[in-house]
Amino acid sequence: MSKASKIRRAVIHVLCIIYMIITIFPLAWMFISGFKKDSDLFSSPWAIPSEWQISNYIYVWVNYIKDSVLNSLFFTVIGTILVVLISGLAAYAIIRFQFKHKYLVFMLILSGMMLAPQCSLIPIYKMLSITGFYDTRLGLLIPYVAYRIPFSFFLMWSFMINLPVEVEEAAFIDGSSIINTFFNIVMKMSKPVIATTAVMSARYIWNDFAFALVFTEGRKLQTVPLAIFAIRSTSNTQWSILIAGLALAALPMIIVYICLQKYFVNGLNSGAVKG
Amino acid sequence: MAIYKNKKILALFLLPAVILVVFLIFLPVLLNIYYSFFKWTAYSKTMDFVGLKYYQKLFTDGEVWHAFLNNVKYAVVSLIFQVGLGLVIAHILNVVASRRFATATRVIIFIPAVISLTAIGLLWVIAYSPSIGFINPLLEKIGLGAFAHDWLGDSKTAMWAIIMVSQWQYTGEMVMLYTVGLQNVPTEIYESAKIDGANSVQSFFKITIPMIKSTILMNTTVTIIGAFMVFDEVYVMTSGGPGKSTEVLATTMYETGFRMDNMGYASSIGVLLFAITFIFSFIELRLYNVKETMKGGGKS
Repeated sequence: MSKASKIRRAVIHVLCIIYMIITIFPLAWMFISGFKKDSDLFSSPWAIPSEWQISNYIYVWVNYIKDSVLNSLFFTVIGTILVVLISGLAAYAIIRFQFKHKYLVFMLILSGMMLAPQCSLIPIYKMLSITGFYDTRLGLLIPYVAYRIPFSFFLMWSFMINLPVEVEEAAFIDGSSIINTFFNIVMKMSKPVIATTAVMSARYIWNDFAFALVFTEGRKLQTVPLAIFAIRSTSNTQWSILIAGLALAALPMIIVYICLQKYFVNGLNSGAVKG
Repeated sequence: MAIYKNKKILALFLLPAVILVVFLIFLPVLLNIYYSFFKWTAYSKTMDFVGLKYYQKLFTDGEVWHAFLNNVKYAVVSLIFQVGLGLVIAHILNVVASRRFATATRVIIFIPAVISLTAIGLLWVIAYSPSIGFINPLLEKIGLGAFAHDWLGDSKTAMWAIIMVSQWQYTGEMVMLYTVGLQNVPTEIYESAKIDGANSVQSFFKITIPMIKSTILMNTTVTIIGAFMVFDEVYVMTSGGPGKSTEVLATTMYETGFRMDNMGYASSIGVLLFAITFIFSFIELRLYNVKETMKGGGKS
């Protein structure tokens, strides 16, 4: 490597480091400031805590986050399972079954990707009120699942279409039922795409704010994003408590990302859209 | 196989997805249009037909246009940072930086994108705060103390401050998207260009841009759609304030519907949002299809 290109590379590496710091610093600041007393926070935003106190984290966990984590977990886990199951079934049906207007059905599900959920907040709210599903678990879960289907369907379809049909045919000859074949052969072979689909949909449901804000009220079904927003909305915001709450809200997704990085990238690979 | 012609099993497999998509994605769009012709409130039993009144109002409503322009600002800045700068960064990481450095950078800068907009938004409310934030002290430290400011409290800077949070959060994701696109470009092309004496700027314009044109187009539409859908970060950070300075279309719709209880008018704003995003989504889906047909369907 020539001297000039070595220097160029060094400059680029320095810029990379600066960009990484710009990314990490606010997050690190959040985790560290969560240990500060309110007085520390006001006197010196840049200093490390005069004493590291874990009480902020405990307080915010007990009073604000704990119940909402259970709610968020419920919606994320059940929602994701349903998304994978329903999208997988539909993708499989489109690939293997023979029926009229197949292309039409395919395009119908796929076109769902064109319609952003934000536009439909009011009509869905109205539908939920009329049917009595407003502020119920199902009333929030179903829209979550529905809006993840088009993309997840596309993702699973584009993987499953490459699965060899012979394996299934052999299973049928051995007397395997269609349900059995779907779960034990098709879904088993689709594990990589299931992981990607699951990660993408979990990220969406766990992080959602708008649906939870509009389709629920009160603390009964409060999810984590609403819970931390509620800390901010109280008249006397305790900043150190809020910061600790933000850190706790951010932590699970950061951990999941670090452990399952590959699947996040795979999700993008398939032309994922933001959010 | 005969089983693949069984209508009952087909229905069992296909209907859950079709029903959910039809009733929760398509029906609401139609209902939205229908509701926008009526005057109604959240708790009213009846709806009064008002025809196109709300649409006449919509196109002359200064607040709606102000919100629309904020969305446009959002889109323009996001195009510059995420689509433009993101591409430059992805290219540099791909051809100049060492492999190890490039991987580490990509992994790190993606982190903010996995955290909720709510948490990120509130974090930056604190970061911008003149009393406890770290932005103003930082400016003072690097000798720019004169710029220290109540960023979100001043109607002149609040919108830009929110928009910059979005750039901080999502440029890394865009870099990752581009990187994925660049993986399909054979490295030999860059190497032979280098032997021919092309520097990294030339290879950016001569190789990177032409080779991943479809990725760039796709990211452009995704970014524009995202910019018009903005809701969480604005609602969480300023709720549209100070005054109405940071209102965007989605927050205007929310305020009109759920705060002022003017559901009909809010629906018409929803229809406007739908129209804008539909146009760009349609383009996006066309790009998808072109790509997939070209690949002979389905290899991801």
